Amino acid sequence: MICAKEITFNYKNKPLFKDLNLNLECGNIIGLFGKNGAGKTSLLKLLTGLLKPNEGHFNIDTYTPFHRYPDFLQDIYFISEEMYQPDLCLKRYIKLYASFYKNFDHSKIQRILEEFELKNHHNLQQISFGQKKKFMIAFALSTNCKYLFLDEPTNGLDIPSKSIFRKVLVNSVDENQLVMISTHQVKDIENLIDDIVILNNGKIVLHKDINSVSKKIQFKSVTNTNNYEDIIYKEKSLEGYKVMLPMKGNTETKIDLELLFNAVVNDTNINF
Amino acid sequence: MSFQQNFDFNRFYKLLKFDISFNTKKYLIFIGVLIIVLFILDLFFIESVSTFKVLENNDRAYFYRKSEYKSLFLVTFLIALFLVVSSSFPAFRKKESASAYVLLPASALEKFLVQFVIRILLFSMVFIVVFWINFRLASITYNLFDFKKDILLPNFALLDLFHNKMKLLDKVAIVLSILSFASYLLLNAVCFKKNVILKTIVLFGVFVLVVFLVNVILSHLFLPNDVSGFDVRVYHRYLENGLRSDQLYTYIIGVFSSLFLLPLTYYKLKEKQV
Repeated sequence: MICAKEITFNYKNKPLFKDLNLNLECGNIIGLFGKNGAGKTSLLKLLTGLLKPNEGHFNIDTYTPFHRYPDFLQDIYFISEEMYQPDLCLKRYIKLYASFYKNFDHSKIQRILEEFELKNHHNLQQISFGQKKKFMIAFALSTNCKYLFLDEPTNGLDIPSKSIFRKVLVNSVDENQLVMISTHQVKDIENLIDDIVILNNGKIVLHKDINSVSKKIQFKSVTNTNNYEDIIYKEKSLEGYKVMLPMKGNTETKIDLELLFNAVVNDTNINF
Repeated sequence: MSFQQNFDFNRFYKLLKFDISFNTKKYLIFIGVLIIVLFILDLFFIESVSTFKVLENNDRAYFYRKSEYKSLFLVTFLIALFLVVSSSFPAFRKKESASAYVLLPASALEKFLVQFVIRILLFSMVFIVVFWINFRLASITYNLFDFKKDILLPNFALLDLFHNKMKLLDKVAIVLSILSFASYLLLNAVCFKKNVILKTIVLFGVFVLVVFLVNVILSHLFLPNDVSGFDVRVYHRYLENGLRSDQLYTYIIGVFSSLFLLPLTYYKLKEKQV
């Protein structure tokens, strides 16, 4: 379980988070969204212990991330947006790094690499950005770490790879794990996530599970808005309007994450 | 948290093996370059520092003294140590490798000790052997090709470096001062991200300047009639065991700096944010 209490964090003397609170349970895939500069990467870095909060404290199970105890580090894996690319072939990278993770699954990584069409002899410095990303995703999932933090994992992936990524992620993660995905590409992960966390102005402005959102709000595309009086939020689209409406009856609709995100960051009053 | 969270021998060994395997190519290239540079330097110094002597049987010859070997060793060792220790924690030079390194499942103490063992202890041992082998090779090469003059080259044993008339206290002071020097370099390697070597030199220059200025001020304060301008006057007293007060002062700084610098390096590593 991840628990953040009253976190205050300044980045280069600029206040980023003020009294931020967050509780996350294992067994979920969490989508972390926010505008550019909202602090998504910083939040991931705070959670992994790369950064230290100015005030407040994080707890991941019994650990404080910034203490960076080896047992804690064995249980987390972070794929940052700027990936590390040592001059090693994939096989050697796996051999060198896998030994640090007690639950590393060698057959799993070979399976995922096959799905991503990567070969063990490929050198990390000679493959494309997307291929590097795929390798890091494969490695992260094979560590079987309890907590996986992925910063923009689908950036640089081609369309088939994005769908393989979704498939591989769903098949790899079990109920004891927690995956937190920070991304701008909401479409890439909208069918994957269980929880939504939206960061805005240094605070978590929305933290809901997908089910509770779809039980309270309907997302529709309409040609005009005249027939709807109780629109929570609307946006112009090619077909007319995309609207968010309070739930009526039992007709659940597919969540439009982009619309929900825009509604939240535009300070729309949503009554969950 | 238990001590095991800070140090575990198996984890330390794993990390040591990891570092050596990860950097094998880099280390081998460095040793290769070191061998070539030392060989050239040895050849050059055998030629240039040998002194001409007339022997008892009236033969004349050039001699290469053991003290020259020791001086050359010390200078080259300190330069090489400077380069090697300043480039410790290579992962910290780039943001992306820094986070990968910090998140590697090993404790800060183990990461610190691995760099200490490889960059200071192992390197020192390797350097002593490489220097000795190189000197022997250079001697053989010199005599084989008989360059300009016949030089009588003494036959040094590997550990001859440490055999001299110096007092034990002086020897210990020199070794521990070298350790302090290495600790200072290790600290800078943790603190600075880019241009570590340059920043280390500049910082050391600033430190020397500050010490000099403090001494100038103290000299003017306490001995105003003895000094003028930027003069420094330090009185020394003879202590027991043939020690001088200024010598003891230097020894204390040299010997005990590492006691402060090494824990500070560990603390900086532990508190490093990426």
